[in-house]
Amino acid sequence: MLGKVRMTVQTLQVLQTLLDRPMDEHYGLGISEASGLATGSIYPILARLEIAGWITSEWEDIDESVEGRRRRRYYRLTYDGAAKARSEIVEMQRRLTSTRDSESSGWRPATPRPGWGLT
Amino acid sequence: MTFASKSAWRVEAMETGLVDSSIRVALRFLPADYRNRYRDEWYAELDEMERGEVSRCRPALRILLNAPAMGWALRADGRHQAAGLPSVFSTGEQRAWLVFAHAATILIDPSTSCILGSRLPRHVKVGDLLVLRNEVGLLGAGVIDQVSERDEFRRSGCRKCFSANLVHLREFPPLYRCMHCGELSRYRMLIVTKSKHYATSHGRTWVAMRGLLSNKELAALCVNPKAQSRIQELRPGAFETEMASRYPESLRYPILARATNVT
Repeated sequence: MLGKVRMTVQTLQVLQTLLDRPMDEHYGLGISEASGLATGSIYPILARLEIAGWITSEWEDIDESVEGRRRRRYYRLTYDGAAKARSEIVEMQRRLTSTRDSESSGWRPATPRPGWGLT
Repeated sequence: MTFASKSAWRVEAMETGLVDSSIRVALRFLPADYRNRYRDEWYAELDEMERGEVSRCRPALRILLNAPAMGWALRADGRHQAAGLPSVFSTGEQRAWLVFAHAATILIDPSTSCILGSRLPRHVKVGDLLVLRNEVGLLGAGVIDQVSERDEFRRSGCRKCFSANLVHLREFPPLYRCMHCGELSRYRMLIVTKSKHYATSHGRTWVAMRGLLSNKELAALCVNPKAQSRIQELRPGAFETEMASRYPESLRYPILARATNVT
């Protein structure tokens, strides 16, 4: 069962990055480069998604002394998480489209007339 | 040493100090169980940045700025458990096992999985309570989600003597010291042994209780307190009752409250 995640623009950007290549293994630096978010700011998002069960993570299986670098932590969308992420992105796109449509249909916020509140 | 090279060395030392301090402070915001994991993860990325000749100061400071939010997010798991949100329990009879965490398990992540060894005690099954300890005392407890059989035993160790007893000496550049042979190395070696062994996963219900009970106190809760084996059975409900009497706040966690309600 998936937990709820507070949806922010940054969270959607991270989900979109993971959804672009769902079968690939993504690590923090790669996600931040692909999503355009700052390195430090993606970790709270990844932690929230992981605790809610949308993504899983595991250590890279390498020999550090042979590779000459530290092992990475790879993140991947779970099956349920991927479905939920898609529906959240579609929902956000639908909302944005409806907002744009309502703006183009002629609705405008009431503009104050000069002198209002003075008489 | 010329003035220019001396200045460059000083700037690098200052940068290293700043990065180290930022990460050290950031880790203090996280729950204790997550610190090792994120320390390794963050330093791996800063290490890659260094090789890409990108300054590490800015990312390290961003990590520090976002650490409180991250700590809050990671503690949400405990808050959900306390609120009685879903957790995994078998409906059958639950038994409790006290397991000495292998050094390799410590390097993997004791909060998610535990290596039981090459022989699986016949009665260990999914839904049982797993209580982990180390040479000092209690580490934590979780309900077993899965018991898997593996063909390879993978662990990190010293590249000279293969000992798993490595100590993290310095953060950046990373430096490990082998407490067995004294070898200093920047990277740990992956040691793969072909042997069949069993491992559990228990991450979904893991509750960290590091140091709350000593090994002597834990031994007193076992069916056979004088047994020397790595996996010992705990008396039904004994661990939960002991924790509830010493730390009443532990009843917030369903895995501990369940047995105390029954008894």
